[in-house]
Formats: sequence, structure tokens, C-alpha cells
Amino acid sequence: MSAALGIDDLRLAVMQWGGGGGGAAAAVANAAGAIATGQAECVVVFRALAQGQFGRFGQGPRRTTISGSAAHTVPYGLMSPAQMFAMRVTRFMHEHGVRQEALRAISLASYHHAQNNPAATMYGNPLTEEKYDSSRWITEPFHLYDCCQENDGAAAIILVPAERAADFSHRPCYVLGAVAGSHHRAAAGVHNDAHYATSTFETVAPRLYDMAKVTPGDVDVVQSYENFTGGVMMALVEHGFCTPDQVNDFFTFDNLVTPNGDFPLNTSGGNLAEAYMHGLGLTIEAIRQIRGTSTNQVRRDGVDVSMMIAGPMVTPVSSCIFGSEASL
Amino acid sequence: MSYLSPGLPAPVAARDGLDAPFWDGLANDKLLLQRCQSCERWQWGAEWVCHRCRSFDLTFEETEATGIIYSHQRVWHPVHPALKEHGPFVIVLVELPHADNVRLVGNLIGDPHQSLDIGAPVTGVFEHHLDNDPVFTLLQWAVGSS
Repeated sequence: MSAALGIDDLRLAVMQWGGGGGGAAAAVANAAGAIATGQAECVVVFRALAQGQFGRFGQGPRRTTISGSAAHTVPYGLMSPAQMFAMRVTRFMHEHGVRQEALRAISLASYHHAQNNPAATMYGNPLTEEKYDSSRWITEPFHLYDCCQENDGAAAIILVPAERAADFSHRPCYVLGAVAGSHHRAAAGVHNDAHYATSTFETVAPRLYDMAKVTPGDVDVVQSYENFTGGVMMALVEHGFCTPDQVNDFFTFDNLVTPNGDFPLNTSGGNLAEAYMHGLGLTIEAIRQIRGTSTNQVRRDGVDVSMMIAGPMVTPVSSCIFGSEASL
Repeated sequence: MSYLSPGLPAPVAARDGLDAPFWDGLANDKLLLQRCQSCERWQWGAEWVCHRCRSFDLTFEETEATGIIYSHQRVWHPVHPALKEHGPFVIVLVELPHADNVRLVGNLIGDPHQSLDIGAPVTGVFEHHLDNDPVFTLLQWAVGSS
């Protein structure tokens, strides 16, 4: 990367630890922290994928024996990410009487927004309720369309100190807050997390709002990482946008789509229908909404407060809030 | 007769021996889980330290292989070549109320299309794989009290 960009003096090299896609907003936090402490002046946050050649997620390990924590799940046929998270979602749905239609609405919203985004992989390939309902189960409660796809791709954002923002031609987008973490024993072995029916944001989201000095009501638009739709549902609950008992009424197609929904979600098509860039695509869309350049722009001249939530249900997780100049 | 087709990775004890008593117990039709000798609480998966009182004085003790379904999933997508022709199967997360609500992952034996009910009582079934090299035993579950 440094060679390709002609960087004579590389000042920072950070890799967010753990949590897979849960680290997408933490990468922004790491960059902002490095800038705030003078370690670097211009940081590229990037992700590049070649899943076709180098490894896919839908299959378990090919080996004759297995040990450690995985020995207590893999021999029972539990080995893919969809399977690792399905029982968290089922437990949440059971506790709060959530219907399958709530998950379906999240998927439909992503596909709907992708139809206006020529760069989306699912542009021209809309999803209907019937197509969702008749799609095969991967593992219950996840249909095929509840699961992120796999693709090749690359994405990057550039962060600089706020006082340099005027040097650039685009409308500036400020990091109001970016946090990471998880609750105690979120990673407890063999599905023994005491807060099992969560997406791991219960302790993280309050810190985000404290840092950004905004409330859920101030947020204009949200991009929330769809590894699986059920994780989006729990992540938005834990970020305070609805209570668990409001889920069936909140997660409806009409509520989640531009231009008329009260809660436009994943406005580029997200991981499900734009591209699965492990969350960085969602970060870029959150920034487009501030700049006013989304293909599903929530407010024509750009929004003031835009949130991105990284991969739910893993540990650690992360989320961030961007703001316009007016939000400062 | 095993619930899943043969060919999935066989469990072996961790190289540091941490969970070896668990696997040895299953081979002898016993469920042995970790219990702290200081605070007397059960915990699972196996760890070197008690996550409640930080004691290192942990042992494995036998407990009854009964519990209730905490969550479940019916799996359709074949995640391993050994499961290509298998069809749907059920994974359950079983909670043991008599052992501080620790949870174990297993399969729910019987009709893969059976209704799955959180809270239903289940009883452990020791499934021995004596034809495999290495031999191993899984703890499966069946609906009903023992």
C-alpha cells in the first residue's frame, strides 16, 4: 500500500484486532485516535477482498480432528457464521415475539435501495416478498436473503485533522464518535454468553452516544452491517432506535426505505445488495449521506448526523457517528 | 447409529488438556463439567480460571445430562462435504438449570422436521463413534425427561 501510494515516511500501520466485521467502525476509531494524538496526519482506512480465490465463509473446516472450543460445536455440524449466530436471533425472537417478517423487511430494504444504485451488485435484481419467502433456508431463521453474499472488491476512506478539511473540495464529514468493545464474557465458550440474545452492543452503544454528544433522535440515517438480518434487528434495538417489543412494528419495509420511511436503513443496498466489503462500504455510504451524494439521499442537501454500525453479534464490535459542519 | 453422517471432524481434547476430563467422561457415559472449588459454581466452556471468583481451583464433576432447550436451529445448507446428501438436521443449545444454567451444544435426535420448543425438557444421549479413528463420543439430546 505504501509503495503503491508513494509514501516516503509511513507513520502508522494498525490492524483492528478480532471480531471480523465487528471491527469496521473500530478502524475509524483507530485512525481518529492516531490523528488526535499526533501519530499521523493522513490515514487511509481500507479493505480489499478476493474471496473467490482465497477463502469462503459458507463451509466448515476439512480435517479429521478438531480441538479447543470448536470441538464442542463442529462435530455437531455447527461451523458456519450463519449457524454461529442463528440461535442468538431465535432466542431474541422467542423472548420478544418477533415475526419472520421483521427480518424480511431488512432484506427487502437493502435490495430496494440497491435498485437506485448502479454500482450495487444487485442493481437490476430486485427482491420481492414472494422471492424471499420461497428462497431456501440456510439455517432457520435465516433464508438465503437474510445472509450477506461474498464478493471481491476494495474500499477506502481518508481521514485528516479537522482543521485540514477546508483543503479538500468535498463537503467535510466529521467523526463525531467511534467506539469499540463488548460486555464481560461476550466470547464465553460454547455459546455461554450471559447476554446471548444480543448483538454485543449493550455496553458499546451508550459510549458512542456519550462521545458523539448526540441521542438516537438526532440520527438522520443509519447503515447497519448485515452479516445476517437478525443482527441488524438487535443492533438497532441496542442503539436505542426501538424497544424489543416494538420490533414487529418498526421493522417494516415502508418504515425502512427512502424517500418516505421514518427510518431509512442501508441506503446503498448495504452488505446484502450493494457489496459485502466487511462494513467499509457502509461507512462510505454513511459519509455519502453527509455529503449529499447517496443514490438514495435522505435529505437532498445532505444530512447532519449519520451512523454506521459494524458487524453485530461478534466480539468485539464497534460503531461510529459522522456529522456535518452544522452538527459540530 | 449416529445422528449426522460420518466424516465430520472428530473432537479431541485440547492439547493443553483443559477439556480432557469432559471427553473422557462422555466415553464412559458420564457428563463431567467444570466446577469451582472456591465458590462452588459450575462454568462452561472450560477455562483455567473461575470467571466469577477468579480462583484457579477448578475441577471436573459429574452432573446429570438433562436440561431444557435454550435455543435451536434447523440447518438446511450443507456446510461440509459429509453433509451434502444428509438433508436438514437440528442443533440445540441446551441449558442445565441444575448446574448454574451452563449451556451445551448438541443435536436433537429424532425427526429433523419436529417442532422445536424453547423451554422443552431434554435428556442426554451418549453417541459413541467406536468405528472412527480416533474414537470419540458426542452428547446428543432427545426431547423428554429421563
